Amino acid sequence: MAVAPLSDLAARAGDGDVVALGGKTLHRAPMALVRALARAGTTDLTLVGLANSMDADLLCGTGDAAAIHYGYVGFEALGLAPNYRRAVEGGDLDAREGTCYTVATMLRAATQGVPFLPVAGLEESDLPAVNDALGETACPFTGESTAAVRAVRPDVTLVHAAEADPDGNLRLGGADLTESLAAAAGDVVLATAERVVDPGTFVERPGDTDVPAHLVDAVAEVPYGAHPCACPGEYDYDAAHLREYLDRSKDGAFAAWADEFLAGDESAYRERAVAGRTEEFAWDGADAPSPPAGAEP
Amino acid sequence: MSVDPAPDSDATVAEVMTAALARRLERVDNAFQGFASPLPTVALRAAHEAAGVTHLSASGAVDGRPARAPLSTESARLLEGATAHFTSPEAFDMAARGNVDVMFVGAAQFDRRGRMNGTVAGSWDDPAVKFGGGGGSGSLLPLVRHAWGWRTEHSPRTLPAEVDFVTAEGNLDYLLTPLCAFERVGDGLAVTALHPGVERREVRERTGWDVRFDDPERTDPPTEAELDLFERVDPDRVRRSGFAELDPL
Repeated sequence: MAVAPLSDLAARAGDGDVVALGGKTLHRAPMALVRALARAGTTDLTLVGLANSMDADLLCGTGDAAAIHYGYVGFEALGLAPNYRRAVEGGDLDAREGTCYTVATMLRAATQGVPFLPVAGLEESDLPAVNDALGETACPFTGESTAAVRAVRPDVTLVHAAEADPDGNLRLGGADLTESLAAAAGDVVLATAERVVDPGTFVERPGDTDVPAHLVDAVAEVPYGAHPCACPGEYDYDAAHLREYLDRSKDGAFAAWADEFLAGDESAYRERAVAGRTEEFAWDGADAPSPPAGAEP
Repeated sequence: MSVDPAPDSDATVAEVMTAALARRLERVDNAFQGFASPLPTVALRAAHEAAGVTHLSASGAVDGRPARAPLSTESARLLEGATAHFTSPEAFDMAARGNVDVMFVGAAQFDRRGRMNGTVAGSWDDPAVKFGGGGGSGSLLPLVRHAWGWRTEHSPRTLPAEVDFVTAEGNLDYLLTPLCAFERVGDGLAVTALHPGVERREVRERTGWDVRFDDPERTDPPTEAELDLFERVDPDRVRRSGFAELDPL
């Protein structure tokens, strides 16, 4: 199965899984897949990401994230990540804080099938003292000491793309952020795409395929699958929705936000969160994605 | 929604800081900006336009020339007009080899020794405020030739004598605030420039340590040509985001 419904994709992830998140900060976060995991009640997850925003924060809010390997969780200029912050301050999230580079190197170790890799930097940082995925090793040839990271092999990697073909080849739209690395590291790679295009569409320019189908296990067509984060070239991040999410989460009203926006399926989500508002976050110079079914004219 | 707290002012301390960074950048070959760095990104855009400095962006862009600098500096809008794609892990590798001249770093706190904290207020085991994390800085601060810090708030809270947690320590040799510029002199930071209208007393009162002044010069205010360039590359004035208030110069 390459093309499948989103709920079938979510069923490939299980309780206790290590889940890598594609995208970076407010861009190309695999939000529809994250929402699907939350709806399915998949829990006790260990998240992995270089720099994440609402994807990680939402799973902290629902209580489904038990641990996270990360370099940053936040909303850039929009503010701190409220549910992540509350979970860490309350001792409910095992925060394996490293750096974007150490997390990338942990994923590189998984892609290479090795248990650890040396990594440059980290001298004088307090992070290795609080994160047991960061260590130290000696070069077997020269004895030189170097920092090292443990491999993290995701059970499941979640990525969002602008386009997929029916075999699961992905075109991200814009530069790769973390997706190729996360896909190569994961045992099962689940993708959503704004559009599934006709077979053979990518053959003319294979160099433009960012993630090849042999790394992708299943893909679902989900318009606005990164919303309220951005899908470059398709739509920008939805600042109004993100601010509402942040305000309500800070005010102790995350559960009400979740009831309102996670109930039902993705078409229900688009009805509530996207319909009639697409102009507010349209990507300049590109046509806005077609309005979802039921959108107001 | 505008991020500009002073829409009627042509020049504020945000432009003083942008100009200070842009001038300093003209002396380097390449610089890397990460996410959440609008003011340094505008300075780097300006330095690229004025002096051809190679602009490496966390967005994956090399020398992007967007019509409007984006508020999120991870945004693919920075790919507009770019000459190549280059991911941030590739930029980290380049730093690890010693080939990144300048990286910009923001943090919740910087201290007198140029150490930075993007991790936690309080302690790791008993956090008062958990911040988002330092991004790439913990790895990169010792690897880049020069790390330049920046903050939109100059207070004892953001500039304590000792950071609560050392997220990163290394080659931070310049720190720019709304009051002044610090540079590394010996084993600590000393004030080497005071912005227009700022007196030593104010810097002393708003810094968490006994500030050293190393014959500080007066930061030149931005010229008309610089202001024009900033407006051209940053018509939305994202360089002013994060400042609680901005007065006209």
